[in-house]
Amino acid sequence: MNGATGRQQCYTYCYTTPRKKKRAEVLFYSTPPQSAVGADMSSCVLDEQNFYRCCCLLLQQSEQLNDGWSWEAVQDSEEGYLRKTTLRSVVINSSTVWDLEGSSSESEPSDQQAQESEQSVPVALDEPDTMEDDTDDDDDEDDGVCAVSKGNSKVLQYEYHIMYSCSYSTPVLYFRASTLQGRSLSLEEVWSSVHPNFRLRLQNSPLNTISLQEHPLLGQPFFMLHPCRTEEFMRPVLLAAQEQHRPVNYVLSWLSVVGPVVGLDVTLRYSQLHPAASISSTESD
Amino acid sequence: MADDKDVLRDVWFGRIPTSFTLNQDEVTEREAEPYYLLLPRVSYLTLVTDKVKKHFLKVMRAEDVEEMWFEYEGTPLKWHYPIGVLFDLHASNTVLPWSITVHFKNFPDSDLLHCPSSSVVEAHFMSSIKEADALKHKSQVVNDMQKKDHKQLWMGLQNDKFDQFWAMNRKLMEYPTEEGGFRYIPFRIYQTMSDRPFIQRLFRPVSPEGNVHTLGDLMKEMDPAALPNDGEPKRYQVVIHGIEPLLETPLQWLSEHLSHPDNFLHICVIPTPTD
Repeated sequence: MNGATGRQQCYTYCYTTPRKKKRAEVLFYSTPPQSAVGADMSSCVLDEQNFYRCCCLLLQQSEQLNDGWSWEAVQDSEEGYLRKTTLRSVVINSSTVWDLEGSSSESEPSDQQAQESEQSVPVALDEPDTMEDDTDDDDDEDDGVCAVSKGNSKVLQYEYHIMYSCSYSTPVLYFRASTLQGRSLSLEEVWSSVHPNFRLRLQNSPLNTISLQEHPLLGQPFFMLHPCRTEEFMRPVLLAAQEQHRPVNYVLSWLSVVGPVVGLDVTLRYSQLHPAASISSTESD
Repeated sequence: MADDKDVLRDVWFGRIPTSFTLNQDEVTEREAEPYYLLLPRVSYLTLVTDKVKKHFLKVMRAEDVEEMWFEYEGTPLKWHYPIGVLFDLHASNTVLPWSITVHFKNFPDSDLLHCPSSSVVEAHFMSSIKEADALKHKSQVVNDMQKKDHKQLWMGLQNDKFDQFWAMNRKLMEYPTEEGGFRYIPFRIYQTMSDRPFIQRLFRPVSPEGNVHTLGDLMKEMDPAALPNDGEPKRYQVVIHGIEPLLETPLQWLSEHLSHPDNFLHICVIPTPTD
């Protein structure tokens, strides 16, 4: 399978030359930290080489956390994408439209995610830290919270790809979803599984939205989260990190913002790993 | 220049004579005649085939009709590619009219994007324009436009109004004179022989030393296999809007004059026909 060799290629790329190793920490910024805050817009973009380095690091950390990301290389080149599949349990209401109910967002995952395990059920109860879909206490209508009928949840398979957009100099998230029987989800179904809080914001601006697109490498229909606003929300993150002289993994930070919108949790454990930990261990070679 | 303006018109008004035949497995109440149409090269299949749908619906029952889709010699046609690109890629060296098969069932949703309404086409078109401007102008020109300006671009395409479209599109074709061209050229290279749907990368119209890049320079960088080796016969044709521009043509000029309304240069690499 592509994954193993692809990952090796990714590592080889990142860690071959001593020069690259030393500069690795600096390179997690999109520009060198010495550049002035408030420089022109291009200071908060990610160039392609840095994208691959960030992916490498994310991959290493994902392995430590057993978070399931793999690298899919394109035909013996450095080009490729990060890939992850998850199973997600979503509740359907009687009109067979997936409904994400309640007001609180998905609970933090309490354990690391094994690839095969179900993610937290996106059904909000009054106590946000409850993860069961047992709704004995909540059969009554609550302000804007609909009752959840028991036993009406469906397990869906989601596949996420992180690619680089050279047009926008940002990562882009592509994903597809299907039932376990292999039926692809429609755009309407995907939309209704987006948390209402996100949904409103996305719907206001059609180009910030989820749409069906042709996958640029595979040619098949995938849903895509439009990248044209990425620079806007990444800029404060990157500037803050620069000011505090903190290294930042652009791809990981970006993913933690956009992932949850489409059901992809990014475990907080990533932040517990020192971003440069794996780099310093190779520097000692 | 008067000549260059003519090129813009020739590109816009390019047409492909097409015959639409209903897939023989579709259930009909009586026999369906083929339908003939001149398709605009620069538009999109689902935008210009309402008449095709109406024609075949006359001989079908409503319950046998799902989302319409098109196929040429077994290949589902991607509506989100400009019509001219589909033709050049799949059928350019065949006898006219282009024979497309129409389907109303078994939509191949692992190959084709759904297109339930023209607003989907609009979103796709505007998305391409935005992306092209991100490459050309870091999105500054398109972001400075108002919503009504964006609408004008779309309505110009939808209603086949050259002047209305170009009144707005000319802004997207400007650049600071000292730069010599756009920041990067929006292009996509298609070839049927590849697994990849297209090649799209960053490429400047002018080198840092000030050399003007040509179509040949682009192909050499992006798809060198498309170009013939010295002394060898040409195995591939590099086709834009159905013609083979000289490889010495400046890329900036091509981008300004031979782009599609979505502001991308769509380049097809097809095998040279063996007569």
